[in-house]
Amino acid sequence: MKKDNLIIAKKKFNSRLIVGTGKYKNMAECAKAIKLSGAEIVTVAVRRVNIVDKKKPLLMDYIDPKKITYLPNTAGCFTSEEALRTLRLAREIGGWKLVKLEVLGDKKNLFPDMIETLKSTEVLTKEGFKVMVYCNDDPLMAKRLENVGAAAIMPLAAQ
Amino acid sequence: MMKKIKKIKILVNGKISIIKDESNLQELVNKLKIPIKKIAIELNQEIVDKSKLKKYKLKEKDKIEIVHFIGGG
Repeated sequence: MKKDNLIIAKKKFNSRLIVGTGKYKNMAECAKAIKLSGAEIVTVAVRRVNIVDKKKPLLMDYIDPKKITYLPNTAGCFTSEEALRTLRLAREIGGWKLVKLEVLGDKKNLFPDMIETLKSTEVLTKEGFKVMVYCNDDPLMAKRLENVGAAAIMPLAAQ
Repeated sequence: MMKKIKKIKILVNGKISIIKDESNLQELVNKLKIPIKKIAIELNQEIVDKSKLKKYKLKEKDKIEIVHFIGGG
């Protein structure tokens, strides 16, 4: 049988599964779950370093970014400005270009704000990012995202 | 007589920090003992080039944000 690889931004992945890294009991459990799942991409968030408690374990100590592709994402961002800032910082941490863009429009149902999302995708693509876009299920909007350079689309409820 | 070293107040991740006047970002990162390869830094809302931290001299009321990856998303 022909191998069905997942190819995003010219990078080949054996697993089609993308796993989150939040809400685990601890980092060790998270690392173990990722290993068992076989996933090669994990979503990660960008947050302030705790400068008071430096003993807190770091995600990169448990999940090796050389083996697992980190997909920085902008979950919780409600404006293009916030999302762009988050992803530019993510790139600065370690040269990540493959990112997941989320610009939310509604706090309750987490629907995407597609106007802000489209605008942000265009800016990020021009800056050299490979953008996987959280979006709604409108095929016309998906086409627009493709036209401005989205590497992949991730429609709500399909993730 | 010994010259008194001037101290300044800066904000690091929202917390007041007192450092020597004209310290640079490299000195601050060393003081905080943060692994540079695992973070990104903003100085007054501008992302700084991590390879040139010594170039950024700090002054009173500077706002520094230091971020890293955490589980989430």
